[in-house]
Amino acid sequence: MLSKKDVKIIKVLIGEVSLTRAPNLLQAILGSCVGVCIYDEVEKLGGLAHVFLPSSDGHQSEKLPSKFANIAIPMLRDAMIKHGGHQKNLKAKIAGGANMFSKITVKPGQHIGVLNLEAVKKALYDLDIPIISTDTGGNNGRKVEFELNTFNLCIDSPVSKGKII
Amino acid sequence: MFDDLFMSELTILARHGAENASLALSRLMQRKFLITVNEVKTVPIQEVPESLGESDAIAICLFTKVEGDIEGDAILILKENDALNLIEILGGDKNVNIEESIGEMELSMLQETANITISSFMNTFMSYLNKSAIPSSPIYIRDLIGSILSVIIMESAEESDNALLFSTQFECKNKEMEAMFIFLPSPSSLKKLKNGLTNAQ
Repeated sequence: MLSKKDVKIIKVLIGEVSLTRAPNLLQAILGSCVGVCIYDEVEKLGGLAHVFLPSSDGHQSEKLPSKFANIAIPMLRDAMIKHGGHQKNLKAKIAGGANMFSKITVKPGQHIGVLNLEAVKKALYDLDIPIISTDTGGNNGRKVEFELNTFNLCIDSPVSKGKII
Repeated sequence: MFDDLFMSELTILARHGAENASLALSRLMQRKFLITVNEVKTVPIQEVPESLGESDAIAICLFTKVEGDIEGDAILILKENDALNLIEILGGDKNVNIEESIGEMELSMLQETANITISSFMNTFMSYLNKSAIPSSPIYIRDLIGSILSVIIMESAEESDNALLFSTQFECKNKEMEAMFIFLPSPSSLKKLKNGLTNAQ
């Protein structure tokens, strides 16, 4: 039986990519950002990318390139492989991409949450990583915790607590 | 991007803004209401959602768009409990079920406080710069602090790596409430603000 002190909670801030092993937890607070968990059940290894914007196109000399879906996801995949993960084992779970400011037309057309989700799905597809489960969209933020013991992605929001995907 | 002179002028103006907001709110409420600016800082955008402390706590956010010579987003954000205390001080029902739906009266109290605070800050800045800017009426959002802040900074993230934060404290009837006033000028407005402040005599 694991005691709580054995489990390290790693906060993954905006634009960051983190990787850890069981029994640790990866945590992120998401709005229109998307939390992308990539994991290898055999190697008990998993990571979380806190994707903030869809694409780095047109953004040069960026200090935090991993805030973009098209950079963060390949970066996470490469880190998984480097730390002993196997491409054929890799799976993904994704959460986030809310439209919290639905009352505000921040920009005409699609809101950023949808654009982030599309970019994330495309990046995972391009890397041949299947998406096992999702909890996306809606009008509320989410606190997500990815448990490396069970590969459960636990989701709390102001409207629902304790959802597991 | 943000040098010491700019930050120090910004802090002085923010304190003037807080004084003007205190005056306006005290007049409205017919009692002493004090707003103080504890800190003015710039933080890298990815740290903004953590800047109020517990990013997974629920907060009340009042969001306005500022338009005019200076454009951007101005936001007042309070932890849920502080927002309820504010509602009580303003004469509303502290036990309003804020989770289900906030009462019309309570909503209007929070919007009015945000409106006065944000307008006072903006007016102080604008009269110093001899420019004009008008905030829209505040939109109410209740959600996780980290989620709200991450969405708010989203718009400036494509252009900038830093945000301007003003930590403020509201004080009335021996109750203290923490609030964060965040102003995210558009990149061109930030330039105007910077030039206007550091060059003004």
